[in-house]
Amino acid sequence: MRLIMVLGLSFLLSMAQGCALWGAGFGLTAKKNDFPVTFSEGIFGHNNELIGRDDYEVVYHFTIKKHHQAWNFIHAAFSSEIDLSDEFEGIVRLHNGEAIVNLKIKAEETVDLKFARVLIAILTCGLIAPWSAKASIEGDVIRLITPTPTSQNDSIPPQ
Amino acid sequence: MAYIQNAQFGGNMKKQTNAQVNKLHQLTIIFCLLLIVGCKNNTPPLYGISTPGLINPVSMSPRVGVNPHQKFEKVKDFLVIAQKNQWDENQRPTQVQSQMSQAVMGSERKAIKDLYITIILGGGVLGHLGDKMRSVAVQGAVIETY
Repeated sequence: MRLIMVLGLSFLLSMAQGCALWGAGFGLTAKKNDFPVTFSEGIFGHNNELIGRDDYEVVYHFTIKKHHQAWNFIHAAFSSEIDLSDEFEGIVRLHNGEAIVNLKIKAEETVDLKFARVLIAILTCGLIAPWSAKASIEGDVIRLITPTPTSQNDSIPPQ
Repeated sequence: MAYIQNAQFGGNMKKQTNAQVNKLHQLTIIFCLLLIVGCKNNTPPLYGISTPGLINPVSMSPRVGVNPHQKFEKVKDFLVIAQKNQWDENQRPTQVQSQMSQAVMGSERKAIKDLYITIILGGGVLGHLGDKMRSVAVQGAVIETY
């Protein structure tokens, strides 16, 4: 009888750990960038026309890894935004690019030390439920093949 | 006589303690096995968002083109939530991709901007029973340029 009770209790605590992790997530944004950061392969060009892969060259392919972690679901709820603007800005400036296309975002819950993490959560009745996730962000930095209107204007001799 | 009685009492105590320790060991092993099963079922696979083949811009930033003076007007808000069972074989949320394509379909002037992506991981209550509660929410604005 005692064995059944202990097993039942451990099962409930194990499920409670799942509850604590439910809702643990993160938000991704790039709201400060003043260039396109698009999932598709097209952007609008200098004359506001839709341009595809024939009109630009890929100057750099990048992959950013982000590791997001929280102590429990409350912490996860209040520390959940990852702003990628600064990193995108740095990559585009470094390679003299004009936009980012073909963006791909992959997410994965980390499995390292999972057993230990679950055990800690159960021993603390879910108060400490360490959770972590990895996000991988891939994309292409591009530069337009067609010259920019400013460089065209520069090439016109003054009259 | 009192010494012998005490010795017998001590022996019984020792036997009882050994039995309790053995039971505790058994319980610990069962508990750990249960945890391992729970962990195994609670691991969501890798998944991601991409829009292969789509040409209209679907941008995370406020810009959809290289011209900073490009004008546009907002058509509507964009919000899609993809939950379990809405993933293709490459672990992409099919609901998100089809909604993005539909939102910009039929016009070369349409685009989506200011995308905010929320990724929710974790097993949930049913995670331990093999179900997955992972989901993705994508919100932004559908615009038309002119």
